Amino acid sequence: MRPCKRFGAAFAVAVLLAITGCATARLNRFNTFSQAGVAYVAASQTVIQNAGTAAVNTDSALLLRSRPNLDQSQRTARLTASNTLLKQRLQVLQLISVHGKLLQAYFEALSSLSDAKATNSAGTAAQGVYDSLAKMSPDLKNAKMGATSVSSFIPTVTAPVVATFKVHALNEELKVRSKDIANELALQEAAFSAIEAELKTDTQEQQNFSETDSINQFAAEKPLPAEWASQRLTLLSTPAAVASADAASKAAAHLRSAFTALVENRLDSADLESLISDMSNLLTIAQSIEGAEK
Amino acid sequence: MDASSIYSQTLSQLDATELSMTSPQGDALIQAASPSDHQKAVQVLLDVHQARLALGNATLQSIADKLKANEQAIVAGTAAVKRALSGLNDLTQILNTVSSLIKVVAQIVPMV
Repeated sequence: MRPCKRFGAAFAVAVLLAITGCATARLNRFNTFSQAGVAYVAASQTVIQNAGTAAVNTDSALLLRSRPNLDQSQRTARLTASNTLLKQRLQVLQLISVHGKLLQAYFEALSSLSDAKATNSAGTAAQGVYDSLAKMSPDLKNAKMGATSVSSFIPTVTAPVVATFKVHALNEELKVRSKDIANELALQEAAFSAIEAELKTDTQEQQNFSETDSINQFAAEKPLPAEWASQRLTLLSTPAAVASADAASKAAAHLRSAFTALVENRLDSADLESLISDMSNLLTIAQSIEGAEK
Repeated sequence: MDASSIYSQTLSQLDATELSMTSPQGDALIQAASPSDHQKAVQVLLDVHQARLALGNATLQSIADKLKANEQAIVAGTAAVKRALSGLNDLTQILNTVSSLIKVVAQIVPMV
């Protein structure tokens, strides 16, 4: 009887650990997804900022080039109209940026709740329960599960139990809000597709102006500026801002498909790896834009 | 075709037109034109640019309005997740589960 009972207890614990082990795996997926969400929002803020700057700079460059062909009243009218439109552009980008911060707060909250390492307080409390029980049952103090004392076993048990609790809370959250979050991510994708189109046009237009200047300098009789050759390389390369716009909308689309997979509990490690790779790409581009602006 | 698709297609056409007119080839054509055509081309380019800005603003504003409408859900979600995190700090449920497990072990231990 005894070995069987011992096996029964060990089996019960093993089953519990297996169940909660699944919970830990799901929790890790939640955590990776929410961290990807935080990274996405942070990097996309740089793209929004860049889009505003590019819109104003392109408008200024175009107005400056057109200025010799405009009379005084036309100059005033064009500049005033542009200022009005650009103020609207900056305002709407600001709205999208502020909204992004709300989304970031949501992902950060998900990330905190799904952090599998944050179980220290739970472990301490569980130890307290064990100590009280051990006072009632002195044998428990020296009890062992295989080679391990029950006392030292507690942290091992606590972590997956906490994971189960967290997964339950996260699943409940998904149940209530999955439609809203999927809608939100679709809107993010649409927003960045639109921002991307305008950012691309603005950046390419500035590049067009630089290329025209470079050609005109080369064709003219005057000596070429000393930096002519080095500037040529810059104007022929694809600016980081153009790549960033693609990366942001792509990241939003990927985040949405990963979210759907997470809700349906079919997000695997390959999907997560690919999601992380997209977010890293977006972050790298955002960092290179920030670096170029300094 | 809905309004946003029409916006988007028209905006793409305006983007392409502006890029074509400001390209080195487009610029060369404008520079080589007669003074009156040159003048017209500059005005058209500025008109295209302003139309692009206006349509881009309308497109972004329509998306921003939809994002705004979704804000309540995001804020409610953040609050709900934070509440769950506070609940976790209360530990009641965890302690109940862990203590149940220990009780099972405690019942078996004396027989070992």
